[in-house]
Amino acid sequence: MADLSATTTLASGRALPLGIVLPAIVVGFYVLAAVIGPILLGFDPVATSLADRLKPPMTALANGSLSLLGTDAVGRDLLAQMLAGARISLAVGAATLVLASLIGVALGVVAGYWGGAVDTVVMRIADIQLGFPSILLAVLVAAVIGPSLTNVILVLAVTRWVVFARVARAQTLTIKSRTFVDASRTLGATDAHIIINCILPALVAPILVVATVQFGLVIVAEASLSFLGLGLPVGIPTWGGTISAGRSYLANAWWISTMPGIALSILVICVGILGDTLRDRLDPNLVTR
Amino acid sequence: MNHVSRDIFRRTIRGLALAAALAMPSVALAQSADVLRIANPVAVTSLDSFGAQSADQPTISVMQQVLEPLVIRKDGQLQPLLAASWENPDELTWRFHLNEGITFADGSPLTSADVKASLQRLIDGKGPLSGLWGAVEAIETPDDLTVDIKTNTRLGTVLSNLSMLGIAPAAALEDPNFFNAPFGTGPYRVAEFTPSQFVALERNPEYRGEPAPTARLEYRYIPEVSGRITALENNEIDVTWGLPPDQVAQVRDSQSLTVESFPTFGNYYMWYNSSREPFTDVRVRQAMWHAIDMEEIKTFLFDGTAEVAKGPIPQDIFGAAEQTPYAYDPEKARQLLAEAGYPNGFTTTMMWSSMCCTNIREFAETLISYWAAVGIQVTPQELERATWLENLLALNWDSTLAEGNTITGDADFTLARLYLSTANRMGYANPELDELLLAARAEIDQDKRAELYAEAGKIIWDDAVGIFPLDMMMHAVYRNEVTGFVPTPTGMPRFDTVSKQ
Repeated sequence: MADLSATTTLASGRALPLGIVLPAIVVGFYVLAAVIGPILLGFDPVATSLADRLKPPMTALANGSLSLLGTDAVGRDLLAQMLAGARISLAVGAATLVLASLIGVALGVVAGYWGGAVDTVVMRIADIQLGFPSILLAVLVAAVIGPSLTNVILVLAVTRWVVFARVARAQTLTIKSRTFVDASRTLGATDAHIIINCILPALVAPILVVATVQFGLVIVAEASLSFLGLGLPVGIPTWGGTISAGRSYLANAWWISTMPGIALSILVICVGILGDTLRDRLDPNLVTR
Repeated sequence: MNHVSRDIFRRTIRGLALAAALAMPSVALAQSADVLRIANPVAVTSLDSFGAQSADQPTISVMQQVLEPLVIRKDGQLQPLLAASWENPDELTWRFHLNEGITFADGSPLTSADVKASLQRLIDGKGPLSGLWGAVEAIETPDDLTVDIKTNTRLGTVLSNLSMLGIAPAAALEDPNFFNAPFGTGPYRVAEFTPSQFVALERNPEYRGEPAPTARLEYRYIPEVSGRITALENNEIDVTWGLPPDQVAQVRDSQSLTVESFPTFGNYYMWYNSSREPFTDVRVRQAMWHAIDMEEIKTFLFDGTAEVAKGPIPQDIFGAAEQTPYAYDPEKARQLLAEAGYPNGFTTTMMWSSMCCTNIREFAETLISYWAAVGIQVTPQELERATWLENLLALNWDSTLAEGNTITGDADFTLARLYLSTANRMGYANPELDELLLAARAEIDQDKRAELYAEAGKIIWDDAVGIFPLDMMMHAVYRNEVTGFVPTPTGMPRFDTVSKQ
């Protein structure tokens, strides 16, 4: 997601602050690990090895390989499992955000641009949904439709579109009354033309910021669902699933829950800082203050 | 730092606090030697041992100290308890003579009417145990101390069935609030009950025998294993049970705790849906069994705290017999698969109920790994219990892994309840097996009955209706000051002999 490409295009002449560079490097590293990690260190959920179960980090396994982060309760290498999990977690995060932002932006722009009854209906639905804790809603929907990759993405997108819709609507409201929009309209531009050429470009930056902030939350939400057994099916490695599986071994095999927990925390913190810094730089209200 | 990241932080902190609050047991600070603090691993949702919960271990483990049966199973033998003696005036009648002078905790005397009302309520309750009494035609009470159970066919399981029927006072059974604080003739009566959270028992003042050594038993539900162990080590509870093998090893090292491991009537089983391809072929079913190295699973996954099964029910159960083991032989598995027409294996699914049993996910993943080695791809389906049960009963599955418990200690409970073709629980139908099981149920001569079950067990085992991997041991852990704990093979510990120094 919003890593290197975001930082370079948004540099706009000013020196890049550490708040962008550092987390961007870390996030980039995660993406890299998720993409090439599983190729280098394959994870086969079916390849269990009971003799190697619950081995601490830095243990040589029965097949001669070294387990850097230890093994889980059925003797599978934790590092390989986490790399495979990173791929799933990042993919779920990215897919959810794309879906949620598409729905949210579409509804938000429609509501903000035309206003009236559409606006009232869409934004009241959004308000009602915001009244529920999003994880509660996710748990409810997930329990009803059952565990699968697509379902998890759908469930999380349903809980996230509201944020995008609100930002898109607010931005649309300000932009549509600006003089250049009025000018286009006077020249006979259609609504579609105005939305595509005037409004959507102005939405890119704020939506990107929201997306970075939401990214961390979505990954945590996916982990929570997997932790509760409502996420992805057993056999598909995810961080949340691994953390959950290690719960009953906390006292005698701390690494199972701890390692993916640390990985998850670092990623979420970095994405959060990145989103924060981007927000500071891009938010016109803050800049002019 | 602005409000967005602070918001994330706040949410994270709130989440952690919530998680911590959920994990922490609410522990009262009662420290007296007169109170035994027990942490049960599964929530006690109801104390009504006559209805839907009549076979539910948490419910029975509490109620067995409150309500007493006519006969009780001790050291594998059925012995009189409330009944003094029994006889069969004819083949369709069981006559029980009650002991004189037994009173309930409210002072009223135990009569045959109470026995009749209790049995009737169990049958009418349509719970999991009511099926055991399907042959009962009438319950008669010729006098205050005599009960006749009349059946329409011969019923050989009356005694073991009765060992599961705690007798409650007839008058109280009509009171809908009775099961909030039930009482009977047992050493304890219920003092306090909050469903799913807390049960307190206090000594029954009217108890005829020697009073229980501890005045008050307090059951608290602590779901997380780690939470229970911590509570034990911090002297917040005195005893718990149902620990997974990996945690047992850790607790054994503790200076202040004692671990007791003992065999139970419980075993793991994996059923094939024999009405579905390819499990209609016995060779496929046997092949999957030969593909698994049980010894290795026992040694590493269960840390040696289980036994490789020798029959479809554990050996301590009445009617169990030793069968020929299935050797770990992947070559033979492949050969059987090839003979059955699946030289390259096949794809199937296995479902189980999440958190249902010891190490179940690890166990399932290990089995799947063994099957993958002979070419059988099994997709795991971990389901929430309600969904699992619904699928199970609708036969909407390929194979399933679960733990069973023959709580009556009598083969009939498991074999005839589940494997009769009329029960239709796993799509397996075998007229020869049906005949054996029905004959065993109708046999009043208990030795003959045991022989018939041994034959039935052999068919189930050799036909590989399912895979019977391991007989489970139970691990109870208590603080060193607790004495008098007696292991119970039912997997439901009693505390009426336990005291604290």
